Amino acid sequence: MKSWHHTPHTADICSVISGDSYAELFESGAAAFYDITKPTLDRRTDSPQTLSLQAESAELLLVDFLSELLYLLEAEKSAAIEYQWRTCSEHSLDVIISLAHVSHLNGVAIKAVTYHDLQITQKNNRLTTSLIFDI
Amino acid sequence: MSTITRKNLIAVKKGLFEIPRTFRDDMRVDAAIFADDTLLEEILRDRSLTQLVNVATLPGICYKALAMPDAHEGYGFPIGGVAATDIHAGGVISPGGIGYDINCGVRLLGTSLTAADLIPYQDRLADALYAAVPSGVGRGGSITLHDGELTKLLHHGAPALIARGIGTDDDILHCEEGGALADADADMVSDKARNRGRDQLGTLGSGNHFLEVQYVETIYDQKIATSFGLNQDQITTMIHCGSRGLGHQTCTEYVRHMIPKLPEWGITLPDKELACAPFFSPEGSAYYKAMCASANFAWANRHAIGHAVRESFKKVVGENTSVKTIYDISHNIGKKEIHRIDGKDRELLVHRKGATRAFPAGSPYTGDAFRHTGHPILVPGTMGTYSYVLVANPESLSVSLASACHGAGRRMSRTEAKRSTRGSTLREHLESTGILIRCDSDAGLAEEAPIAYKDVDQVVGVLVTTGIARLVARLAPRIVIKGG
Repeated sequence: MKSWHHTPHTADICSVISGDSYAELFESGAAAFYDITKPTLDRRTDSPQTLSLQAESAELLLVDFLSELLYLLEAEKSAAIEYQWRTCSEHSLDVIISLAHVSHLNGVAIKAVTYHDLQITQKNNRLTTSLIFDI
Repeated sequence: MSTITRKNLIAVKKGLFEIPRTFRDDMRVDAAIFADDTLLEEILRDRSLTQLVNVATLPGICYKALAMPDAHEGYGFPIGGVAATDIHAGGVISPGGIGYDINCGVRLLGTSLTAADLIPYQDRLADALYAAVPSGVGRGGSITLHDGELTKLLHHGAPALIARGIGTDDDILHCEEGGALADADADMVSDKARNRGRDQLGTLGSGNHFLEVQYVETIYDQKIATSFGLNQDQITTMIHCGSRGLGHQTCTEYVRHMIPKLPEWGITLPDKELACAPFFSPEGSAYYKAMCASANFAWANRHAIGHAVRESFKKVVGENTSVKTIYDISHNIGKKEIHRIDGKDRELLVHRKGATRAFPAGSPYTGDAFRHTGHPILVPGTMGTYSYVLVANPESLSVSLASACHGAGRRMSRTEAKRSTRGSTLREHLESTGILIRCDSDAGLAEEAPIAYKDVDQVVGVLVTTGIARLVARLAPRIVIKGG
């Protein structure tokens, strides 16, 4: 089950995200990300985006994934609306992302996804980490 | 990891505390905190000092890891953190120690108007500025740059805009580094970074970025104020923003690139966000050149906004209105500087993250316009409080690595601020005191409420007490433009 919530941080936004799998954890991170930026979605884009990433650790992979979403939002003005995971493990992911055009952002601009305090832990088959977004 | 309490701190003198390097085995230098007792209590409430101790572990760090009086918790470095590494002795460069918003900074403009002159135009000027300077999440600017123009701007910074009729040579003379770092290399900035910044030149962004029309409420040092171009009751404008998506993406990519390389360099860090590279390694060198290019973009951004402000004043008040740059100073940057450490001149890479430089009269780093005074230090307060202009004392060189605070510094999370204040109530309150607000988000306004920040009077008071700087002028807000 995907879940996320924000916790207080003096300057930035700290989100605690969880999932039963890496794919769910990453989608929880994406949900927290879009809750902060609050995009107003327009029509679907013509073609989905395929994202294939590899990293030395799950933490790096998570930041890479969310940084791609940030790039799509800021440079391409589009936001993910569906994820079709082909693979998602500790060191790699391959996902087809359906996107919608973004007409407006109603939340806070995220500058970057940081590595501070980022440590994915597994307890009772549940993956959890905190994540600090620089705003 | 050990929690830091008041008991771990040594009071060195009034306004200065230290955590000795014996506090934690991995510290390479002492950590020093500029604060009075009240500010220290606030700093101890979050993890600022744990982050400062982490900074003290960086390879090649010399002198001390410093926290300015506006320090608060960030990620990696605390905001208000200063660290200098000896680049000729294995010292590192840390992108996180400069921040994602490379060359975030403040520009102050002085006008030929007095506070009384502004009154009949205040409302129309607020609307004109709000229209001319895009603010808020995802709002692009009116200046579109094709690839060649962007490359030129990354190499040459703010001066590259003069040829396009944006800004003046006088603006450049009154800007840190003349608005351009010579070591910039546009080839070190990725296409992704370019794409994120391409339509953002001349925009404020959101969060704590702002544009404020202010007036000079108090002059403390008439001679220096006059020399800076500041007079009693004069209308000024302060701009706070940085390198926008271009800088954010640049930092993101280089932090990511450095993390897996750390074992190769034999570097162990207490926090991945402190990721760094030896300055003269290919990775360190590439980041430094990219950082310089991103800094140039930021100076061009504030230069373009300054131009838009000038045009707005002329349009609303009259063509004869003069709007000149007083100074533009960075507070998220890494600079190569020579400092005297342990009796020797050493070339250091000074990381200032949420901290400005503070060079006194006679320093080679002030720029020609400020050789005899020292450059202005710009310390913005909040939308309901004062901002300050200061100038460094010679002591700043030996006490704080020629560094000062960059603002009031947050004391409250955004959630807590929104719980404490309603945006609409705040807007009404400020407007009842004659401060006009233009911000399309009440929530965004509440997040930046004065109550969310430390007392800026106390913060600059510590700079004075410790001899780092002296007060020149105090500015009070009249119009506040903020992104949501």
